[in-house]
Amino acid sequence: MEWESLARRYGDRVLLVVRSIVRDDAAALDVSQEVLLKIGRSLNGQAGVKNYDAWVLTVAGNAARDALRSRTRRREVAMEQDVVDERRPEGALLAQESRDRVARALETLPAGARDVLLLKFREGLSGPEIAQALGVSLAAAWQQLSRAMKLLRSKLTETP
Amino acid sequence: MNCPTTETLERLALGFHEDPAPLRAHAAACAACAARLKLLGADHAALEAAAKAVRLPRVPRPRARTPWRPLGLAAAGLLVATFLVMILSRPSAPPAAPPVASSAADAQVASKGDGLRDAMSRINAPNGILTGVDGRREVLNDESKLFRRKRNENASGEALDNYGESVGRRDPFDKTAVTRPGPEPAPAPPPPLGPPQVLPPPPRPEPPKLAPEPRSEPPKPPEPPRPEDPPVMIFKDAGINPTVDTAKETTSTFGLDVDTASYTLIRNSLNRGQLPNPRGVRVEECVNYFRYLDPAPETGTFAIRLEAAPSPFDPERHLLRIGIKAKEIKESERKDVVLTFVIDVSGSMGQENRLELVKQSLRELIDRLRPSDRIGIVVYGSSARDVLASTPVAQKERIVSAIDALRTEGSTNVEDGLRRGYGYATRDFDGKKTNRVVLCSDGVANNGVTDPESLLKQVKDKAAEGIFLSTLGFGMGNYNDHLMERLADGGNGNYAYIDDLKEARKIFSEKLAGMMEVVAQDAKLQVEFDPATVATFRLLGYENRHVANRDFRNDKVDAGEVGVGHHVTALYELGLKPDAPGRLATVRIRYKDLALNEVVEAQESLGRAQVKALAADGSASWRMAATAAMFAEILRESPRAKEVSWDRVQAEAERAARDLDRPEDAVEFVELVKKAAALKR
Repeated sequence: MEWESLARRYGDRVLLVVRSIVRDDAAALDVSQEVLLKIGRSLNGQAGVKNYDAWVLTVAGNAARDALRSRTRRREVAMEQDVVDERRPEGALLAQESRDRVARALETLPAGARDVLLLKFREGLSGPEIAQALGVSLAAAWQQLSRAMKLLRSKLTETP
Repeated sequence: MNCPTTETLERLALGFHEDPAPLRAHAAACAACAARLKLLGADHAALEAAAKAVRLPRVPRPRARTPWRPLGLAAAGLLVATFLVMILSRPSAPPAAPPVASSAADAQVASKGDGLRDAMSRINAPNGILTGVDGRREVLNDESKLFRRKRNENASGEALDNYGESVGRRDPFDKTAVTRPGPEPAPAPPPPLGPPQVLPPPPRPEPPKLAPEPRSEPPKPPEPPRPEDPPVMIFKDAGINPTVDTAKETTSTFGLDVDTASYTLIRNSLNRGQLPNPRGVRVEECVNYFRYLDPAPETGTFAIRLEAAPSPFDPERHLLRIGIKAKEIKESERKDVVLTFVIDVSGSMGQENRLELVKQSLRELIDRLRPSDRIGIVVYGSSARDVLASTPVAQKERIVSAIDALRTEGSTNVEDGLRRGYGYATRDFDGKKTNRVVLCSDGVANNGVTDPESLLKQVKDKAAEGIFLSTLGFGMGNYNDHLMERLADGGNGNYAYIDDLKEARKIFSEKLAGMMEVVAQDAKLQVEFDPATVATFRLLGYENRHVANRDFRNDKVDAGEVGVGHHVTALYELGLKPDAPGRLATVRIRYKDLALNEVVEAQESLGRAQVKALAADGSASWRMAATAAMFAEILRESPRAKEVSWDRVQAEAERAARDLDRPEDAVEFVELVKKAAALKR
């Protein structure tokens, strides 16, 4: 497959999976490039993979974790350092905000929180798919997503 | 069905609920829930629109043509390897000018040390997806979360929740509890050992990126640790099991735990004149520290013994003791062991003579092994290094002199140490013997991969290959209890904390066989109460061993490993219905029997008529277990222990010690109760 169509089809998704794990923009782009190359090679070579989309997620997640492991640098997990208000507004909070304001709030979230939200709401991945990509249980994936939602909601309510 | 929380509904709506069918049925029938789901749906649609508006960077097109890239990498790797060989062959001389083609990045890699690369070439780095590492621990019900949260807030004012898992990090916003011990009494200066000791860098406090909501009382972040403070300790709060109404649930399931480290840690803390951190108190480990008078099974793998009587601490409640005793084998009947010790020789191990204690412990152990057992030793500081290739215990002098030569050095790269240790164990693997890696450390990881999930993944992979991991904890300040426990749990091994030579002797003599030879894997216990006789029940301890009831017969769920002669005790606090005859409870144990190599289930029941009328009728073992549990309950500030006085605990401890013919442990326990009572006042 040509690079362009490969990047168009899987680029965003691979980048988000990788970036949600390595949490570093430059490194994520490097790793994503490798992943896309690998996907391209396999596409031309073998056709043994049944569920192609799930396989892409697994390849991306594994490559990201390998990259993280091979770097001796301590993993900075900005997301877990944030203090989150545990209470949750009952109403449809996000629906009352303008799209751009929500998008801006999204962009200012810590990398891990932002990317897991994007995997869900931009790429439309299912719960099990996100869990598989991140290499954690469904419950742990929910914890990440739920924490990210709380962060986003509290971000939108903190400033009028 | 009660209406679920909004968070649970959101979890359902977004497809993250594990068991969505009943909730969905409820939401379809319940107008309030349906309305809430609709509001959530609007939120999600808005978020979807916003997410699609976010701009993402494009993944760059590769510059070189694909086929050349791997070749280029291989060439760079070759250069790095040559470079490493040059350094290795002349360890004392500084390397001459690095090869021209070696980039700055390569040079940096090379300077990080040989251990990782070298070890990587021997073992395949684990690859693949992390399995749901902690799925079972996340299945805690709401009430227990509530307890946990209340207690966390009370303790420190931190906004903590049970989100995710993390250890080994020491940032102040970690939800893992951090205790700073006060000044240590009579600090014995560590002997000047070898090269200068490198202390772990002080924790870097980082301000929270997000201000808390102004509407609420802002959660105060804890005071960031200052560099001059004594080192911190890391514990993880697993919450406290709630009291369950049998009208709602009649069954309780958990994985067995034979560890005892929590009790030893408490003892060490009290002997230093400090109350232990409530979050590091695990009730089951305190109860299991003591030896009870349950007989070993005459046939089969386990004997189950049940006993219930009114609680000596609360006349309204009864205590059910479940004693599980694994079969014994003679020392001569155990399999040979192939042990690989992975010993932390980082700077922190120089404090308080920790490394000396490790060395003494190892000498104790070697005296008790057989000539046909084998021992290998790997040490790690900043990187890992082989000290002793696998050597039969017949050559005792060689082993002892290798132990004597151990010195502290550098920072703490646990990952590298484990990797190299597993390299040894893999090479010397013998399917007919017991293969085990033993990690001796204070549990601080500050170099290399410090992400516990990644360490745990390696440990689990190796356990699946038949190489188990046990962890022995040493040291007090800087101690990471949670990491050591999780690693042993993931590695199908035991976790013990050694605070002095006496404890080392105890572990290596009395408990050696059990520690080395496993009889049952993934052992789970399920207790089913009869709602006709039992109104409420509460499991004391085993919080982090929780298994969902429906997973009792799921043999893929990871649970506890039990060794030869091990003794596991569990206590339930019961509220009984008056004068209702019949069955009280049925206890089932399910495990993989390693002798038969098949999954076995056994059960035992207790009738209401067998419940003793008075607390005084309880056996000595029952009383000892009840008192040890109450001791732990008070120390962990359990809400159910508020009304219990230390005098009462002390009286019961004295009586239990007397009834058990005053074994050393029980006598020591009485002294600890006195110390704790004095500190609490």
